[in-house]
Amino acid sequence: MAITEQDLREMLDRDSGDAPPKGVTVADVDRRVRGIRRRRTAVLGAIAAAALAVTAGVLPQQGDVTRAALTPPQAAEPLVTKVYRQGGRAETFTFTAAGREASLSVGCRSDLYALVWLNGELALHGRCEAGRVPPGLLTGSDAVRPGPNEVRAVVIPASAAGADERAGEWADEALAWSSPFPAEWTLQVAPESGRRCRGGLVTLDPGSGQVVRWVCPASASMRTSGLMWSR
Amino acid sequence: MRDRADFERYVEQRSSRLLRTAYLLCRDWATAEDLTQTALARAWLAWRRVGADPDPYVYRILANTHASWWRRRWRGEVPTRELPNVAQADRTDELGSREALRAALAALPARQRAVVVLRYFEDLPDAAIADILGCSVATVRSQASRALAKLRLDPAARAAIQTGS
Repeated sequence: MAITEQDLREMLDRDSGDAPPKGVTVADVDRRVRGIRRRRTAVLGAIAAAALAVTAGVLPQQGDVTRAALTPPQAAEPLVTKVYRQGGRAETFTFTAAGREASLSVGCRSDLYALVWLNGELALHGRCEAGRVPPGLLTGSDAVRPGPNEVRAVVIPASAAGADERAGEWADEALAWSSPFPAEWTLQVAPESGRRCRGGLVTLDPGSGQVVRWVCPASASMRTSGLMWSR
Repeated sequence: MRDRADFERYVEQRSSRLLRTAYLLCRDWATAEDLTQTALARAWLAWRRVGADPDPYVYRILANTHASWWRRRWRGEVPTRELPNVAQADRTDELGSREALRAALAALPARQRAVVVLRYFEDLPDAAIADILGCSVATVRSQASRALAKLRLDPAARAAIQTGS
């Protein structure tokens, strides 16, 4: 039986018709406003502290990170490599994809929290996980559309993100009023074949910390690649 | 719309409708209240910049926040000792198709569901939806068409959406 637009309208109207009688009051909204302001204060403080730490030179510097080759490899060269020198400011670029899946990788200090939006939706966020030495790396894969795709990304102090699992929710507002601070970080996009494997390795450039390539075993089939660190 | 009195009036007049919209996005009243409070709180924090019609701003926050939460929702399996009750097939065609429609709607990706809700519950034109979701009118139409195909809507209606008529 074909469903009509009118059926759909009626169903939406009926389904949402039994809203709680209390609803949302001005007092509820005021409480939420106070919560948002508290978080903003925390983020501002963390950004200021991070900027001070960088100025004072107390944050860790990049170390040598190398990776041995894996055989037989299937290497996926990055589609895009971006290097940024400021945190707290959203960076945007567009890349063209041939397939429908891509790997996203952020290289940043382990005291930073990265957020990456793909075509307007939050695709990846989290703290850059460090091995024994910085920089850390945050990787994930997501659906892309064949053709142009827009990436927007930012790093903020991890202390500002805290353990809030809704980090992405307030990231937009954090960006609106946060000030840029010095932080070198990289963002790379690679085709899916480089990531969907078990036991795959990420090769980092020792100097810059950038991902040189993702390497997967020939018969690999799992979703996540491994990450190993050595000096 | 600039001062506190305007904002309080806006909350009183629009919050129940916004709550219903939020519910249709997330299908959970507690989450819908959370979404609505978040959207209105952010609207208040930006009240001077929101302009004479706060609705597009508030809808944008609702849709974006819901999409953000949806992407992080729990997708895993929970082990249990008890088998769930087996669903009984609905005997009436009408009720069965309605339930199927509801299930299909709940399974839509966040962005497609937002398009459906804004278009068929809020009766917004495609241009307004595009502005709210930050995409082109063509994208709104293609998302709507895909969503309606999944909802098994009348093919003639889908064709009309694609052509913008």
